[in-house]
Amino acid sequence: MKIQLTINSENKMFDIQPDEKLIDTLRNNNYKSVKFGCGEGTCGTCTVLINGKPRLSCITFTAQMTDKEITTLEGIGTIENLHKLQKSFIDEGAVQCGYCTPGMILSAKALLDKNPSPTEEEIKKALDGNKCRCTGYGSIIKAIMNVAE
Amino acid sequence: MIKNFYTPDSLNKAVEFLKNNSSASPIAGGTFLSLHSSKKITSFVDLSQLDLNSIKKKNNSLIIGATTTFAQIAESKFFPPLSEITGNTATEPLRNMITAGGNVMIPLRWSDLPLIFLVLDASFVLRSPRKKIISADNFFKKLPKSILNNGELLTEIIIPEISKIKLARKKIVRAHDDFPALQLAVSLTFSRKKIDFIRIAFVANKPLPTRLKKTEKFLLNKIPDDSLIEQAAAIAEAEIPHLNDIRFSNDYLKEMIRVYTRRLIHQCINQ
Repeated sequence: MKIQLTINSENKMFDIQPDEKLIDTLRNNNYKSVKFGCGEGTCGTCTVLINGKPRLSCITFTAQMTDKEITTLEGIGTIENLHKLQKSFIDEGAVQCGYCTPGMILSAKALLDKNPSPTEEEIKKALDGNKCRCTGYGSIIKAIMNVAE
Repeated sequence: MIKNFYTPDSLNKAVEFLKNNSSASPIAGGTFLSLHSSKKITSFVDLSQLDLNSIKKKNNSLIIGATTTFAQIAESKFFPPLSEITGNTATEPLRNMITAGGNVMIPLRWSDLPLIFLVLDASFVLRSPRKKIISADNFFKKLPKSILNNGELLTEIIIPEISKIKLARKKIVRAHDDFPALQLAVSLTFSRKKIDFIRIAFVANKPLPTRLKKTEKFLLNKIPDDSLIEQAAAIAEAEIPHLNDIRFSNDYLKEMIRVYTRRLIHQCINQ
């Protein structure tokens, strides 16, 4: 089936299967920041923003994304022009293997867009769906706190 | 295998499609159906364009649209105990996806809202497109899917008396998003210090919630004090059936029901 999606503010037509998951549509079209982890909505590595809110692309059907604004990490920063959260993650050493980082940053962005001055507890709650299994959460939380107003 | 994904722009079109396609299933958040849809389902009917994602207060009742997400309920200010429960369910991205309707239509033993809606004496509005209202007691008699006729769609959940009703819930889990051993909930209202409405229910080894009717009857029309609540907790422990569960012993679950019946009644009284 044909579908028009808005990804990182760009409208594009896609030819998808009715049961296609959003993660597959995105990765097959070079949005490689979106990572496949558990595949069952638990780990958060596949997090993208849908209308500014974090959702899990591994359990989202692409067919449900008409009229919605999808944001991946490619849409918020580039290597030449890093988003302030990306820069802060680098400065704080909040990245080890890096696999969870895109999901972490998008969840953090959604939080800061809604609440520019979150407490540490609010950051922890906003990241409760994003699992990290190597860096640990201390430096990640600090990186987000540094960007908060 | 899904061969068709239909996104109707009106309720009539949605129910018409469901009536004419017995292998079609409604879908909203999709957190369950994206992983576990039956092989018999060949079409999805996406409910996202039907304006069912709102929460509003009307004549002291709370009206929750079937596709309202847990995050929306959590952000609403109409009924804080319910907002707190949905705000602490699962994780942030999942709260943006799980819907009230999906949570009750596909009840699992870790689902939060079937138990909560049962103790709040909620009503469930079905459309075919003719309107039909089912009480929570009837809705959860068996799996809700089997209660709906072909072409019927859950559109709203109505919770009455939200300014009067007290609600307390305990979910026994080892970690925040873990599989619960037990969920227990109590709701009550008072009239001249007497309990004039009470619901106590639990979910343990089965997905559907069960009311503790003997305990409710014992407390109804009485002024609660420590002694009465202690007696009620003992009745609750005695009235539950044997709970076969590979993970938790029957003795442990019964003891937890006794302890938390007492604590939750106190919590309601102290609200």
